[in-house]
Amino acid sequence: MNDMTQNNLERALKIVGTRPPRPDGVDKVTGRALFGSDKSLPNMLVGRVLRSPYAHAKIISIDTSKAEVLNGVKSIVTCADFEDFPSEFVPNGEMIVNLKDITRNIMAREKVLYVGHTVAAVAATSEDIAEKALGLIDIKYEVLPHVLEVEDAEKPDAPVLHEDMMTIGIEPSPKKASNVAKRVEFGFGDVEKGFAEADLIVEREFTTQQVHQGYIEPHACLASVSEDGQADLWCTTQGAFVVRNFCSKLLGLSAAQIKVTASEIGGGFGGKTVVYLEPLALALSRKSGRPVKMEMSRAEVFTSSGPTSGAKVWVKIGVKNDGRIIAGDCVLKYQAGAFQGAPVGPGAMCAFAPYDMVNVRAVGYDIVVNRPKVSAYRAPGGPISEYGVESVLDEIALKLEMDPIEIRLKNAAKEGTIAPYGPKLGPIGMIETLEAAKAHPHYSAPLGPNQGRGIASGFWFNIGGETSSSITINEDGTVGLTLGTTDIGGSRASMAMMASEELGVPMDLIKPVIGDTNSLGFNFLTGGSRATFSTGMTVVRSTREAIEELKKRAALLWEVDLNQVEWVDGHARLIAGDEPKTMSLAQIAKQAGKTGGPIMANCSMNVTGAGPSLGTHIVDVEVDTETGKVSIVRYTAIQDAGKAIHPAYVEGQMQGGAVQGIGWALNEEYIYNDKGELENTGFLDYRIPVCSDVPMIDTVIVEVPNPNHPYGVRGVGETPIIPPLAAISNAVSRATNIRFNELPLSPPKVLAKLMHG
Amino acid sequence: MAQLILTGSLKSLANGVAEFNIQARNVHQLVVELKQICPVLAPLIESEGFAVAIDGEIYQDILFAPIGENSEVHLIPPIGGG
Amino acid sequence: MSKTHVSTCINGDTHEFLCDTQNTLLDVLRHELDLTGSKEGCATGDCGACSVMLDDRLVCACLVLGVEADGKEIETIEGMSSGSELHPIQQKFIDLAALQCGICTPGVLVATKALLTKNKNPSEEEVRFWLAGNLCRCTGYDKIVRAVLEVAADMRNA
Repeated sequence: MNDMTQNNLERALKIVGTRPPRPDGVDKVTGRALFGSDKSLPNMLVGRVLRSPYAHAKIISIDTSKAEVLNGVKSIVTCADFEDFPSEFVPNGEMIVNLKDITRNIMAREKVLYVGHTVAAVAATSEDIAEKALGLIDIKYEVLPHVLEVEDAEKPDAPVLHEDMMTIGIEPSPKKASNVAKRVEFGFGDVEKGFAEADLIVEREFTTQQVHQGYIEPHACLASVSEDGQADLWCTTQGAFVVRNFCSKLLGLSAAQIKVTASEIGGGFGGKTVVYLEPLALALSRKSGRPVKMEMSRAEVFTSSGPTSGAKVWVKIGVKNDGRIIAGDCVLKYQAGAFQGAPVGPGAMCAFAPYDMVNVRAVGYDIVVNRPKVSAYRAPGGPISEYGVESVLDEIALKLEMDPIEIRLKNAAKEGTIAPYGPKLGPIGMIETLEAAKAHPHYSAPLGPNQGRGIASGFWFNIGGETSSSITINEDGTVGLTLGTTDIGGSRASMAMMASEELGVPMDLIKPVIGDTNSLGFNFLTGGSRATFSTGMTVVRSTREAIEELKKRAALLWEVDLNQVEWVDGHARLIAGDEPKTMSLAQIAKQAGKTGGPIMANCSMNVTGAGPSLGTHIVDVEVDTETGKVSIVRYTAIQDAGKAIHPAYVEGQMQGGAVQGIGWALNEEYIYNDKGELENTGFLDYRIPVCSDVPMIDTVIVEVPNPNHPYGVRGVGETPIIPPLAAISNAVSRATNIRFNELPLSPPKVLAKLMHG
Repeated sequence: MAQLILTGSLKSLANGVAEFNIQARNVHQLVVELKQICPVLAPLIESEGFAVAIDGEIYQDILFAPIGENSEVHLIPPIGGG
Repeated sequence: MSKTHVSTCINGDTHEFLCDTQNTLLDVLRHELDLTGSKEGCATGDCGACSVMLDDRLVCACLVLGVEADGKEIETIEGMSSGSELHPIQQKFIDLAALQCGICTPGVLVATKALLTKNKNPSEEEVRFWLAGNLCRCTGYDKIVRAVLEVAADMRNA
């Protein structure tokens, strides 16, 4: 038996670590690739959504009778068309979800909880008719006072969003409902004692704004439910199986009745891990008996999908004079949006995780407000808490007149360090990324007038999870891979590369495809930086199993024992014997039928052993003291990838994450008016970085292998969005000699602080 | 003897007790044992879906992850991601 | 309301279609003609994912009405490669990994071709400002800009 855990960390690699063209490249540069809204079916209807104009209101009545009789309207659904669920956290695949909240988020029931909350959906023969029908639906509301900010939402007299929500995690359990869903706490040691021993303590409060993932492709899907209840769903998602499970619960269909096919996905960043349109399209299709296509407008994407939390963050750090952290404490208050589930738990867990802490405490509050329910966004929770910690650490370095890299090196977590959330860390690359930053020419380059240099590090866990994939050896010696995790940034390339490396055949003989939910066992979604790690693990294992089978067939043909055959460079080779004998994969494949049948293998497992990825970023900014505009002059992102399978796409993750972080730090924010309406619902006003806003993003890939993966892979996708917030804020603070503690650092905010301190 | 170590909120929930000696040899057994030694934590694991770190290795929803003779076990919330 | 008959040339082929006056060129391309390579990211001219050439002018197809295309020549991403040959810009984007999810890629490629037709030797700054109307959320633009600069050099030397 081949050793499935054997790693290739010491082996000379031929494919892994190179930069071959991606298998889906041609489709994507020619317009052939089909994304969520690119597919149509005969007899298809168009679905549209009626959304709440109020931030908080009771629904008194819904009358769809006028809309129903409009010519061309084929079905209308409201909350009456969906089963209600009790408030209960239940497993949904690998996620724990509260179906009471989910069914209310996809379709409001008793109340609307944010502007843009879905209240009804229509399917009609044309877009115009559907739009007209929305206008004919008569909804009577009783408008209630709303609340948008966490500090207002936690006041005793605040309007309460959910009358049955009692704060979890405080003793004694409250008897009165509030907007605080949950309190969490992590840490160890005695922070008070630590602060008493500190030579220097810095304590600051920070504010971050709600931001959106900003994927360029809006949510879209195409559903077709037949008369016998068989459902076909095509949609843009990070996890087809997760969509299947959500929809089967929400619509009362079995998993076997729904086949979900993931389209090519036009960006997700965590925002396409839940369902919005999909259950509506299925319900509309079921009711009308015709296929229904739904797409969100950009404004709907902003008002009704995503985003991540805005937050208040309080951080206190105490150090000895030599820079050693003796105590760290933080309180995080994250907006959950209309339903609980702010990423404050992971935010609290990783706040101090880059460091070896003696006394540490991180407290988090999950607070509901009348904004869209947050969904995951790249390292959910991490950028916010680590922004606070990394900013305070920078201020401490300045006060101690210490180099900001030195103070981080002095406190860096390493293998064996106890993480603030409890367990000991395995090998991690914090020190290595800091050393690489220190050695980078960027770090010692001179700065111009009004320029400042900022440093920050970031930690993200990464995950494994349920994963399933298969490999087929075709009769002509080519190879098929069926993968179950959405390819969001080039994972088909890295999977084909790992299979190619194992098999010893050229990558262009290997065709990776993303399977639908009927083609494989359950796959958790592409998220948590898990695809290359987890799916890669199953690809390596199934490929090794296929190699075993190939060797068996060769042994049969040679009439020798299996142990006489080894696999070298795409060939079976006879170990003993006078003359060297080999048989190529293609030769064995050609005779597969005669030697026992087709050759295929699959691997399904719940992958463990993900390794955290650490990153350190260096940024130079220039502050225009007349306008307050901050320009990014130079940027270097350094990160431990464990092993970069396809370095170009690892760099791409680092560059893309850094620029999303730049947007978060400098421009992006949800702006509400006093009615609770979002005022910037387009890319013109919600300004994500454009090409001319940023310089080249230099990258350094550090490789501290993850011992649990055959090639040493860690996840890389999420960590790079963590450091930019603090790195940029620190750079602006150093450029101006004024500490900034509020994001985004947009020109008006910077200018105000420059003028008034 | 293997030890279950609680920090933060979980420690408060367990009335400040930070360490439990445990007999369990896998996560499945740990859930059963928790019902006896610290009943307040058991529903959390079952309903909210906690992950378990055994000697630093994180296991999410894996009932038969082995717990060694002298393992250090931590309960942590499940980690997702974007 | 009666529809308007429109006659255009798209990627060298004659196309005739009927469209409502309020339909955008993007609606027509995607829904009437099944040319779904041009993407809709915003429908307000902010994201550039629907960039097409209209009589040698780079436009957002979502900001042009279908009826305005009458008698005009349109070039979309579907017309960029010739036969089985990719355009050098397309090839360069693949070679340098200048795309991740690929949703912005058609628009970026059309815009890049327009730039290199006008300016065979653009500076990095010129590339960045020319492509400022094409949003990309995945790449951070680094590899896109490098691909454009490199293919420009290749095409000059070809």
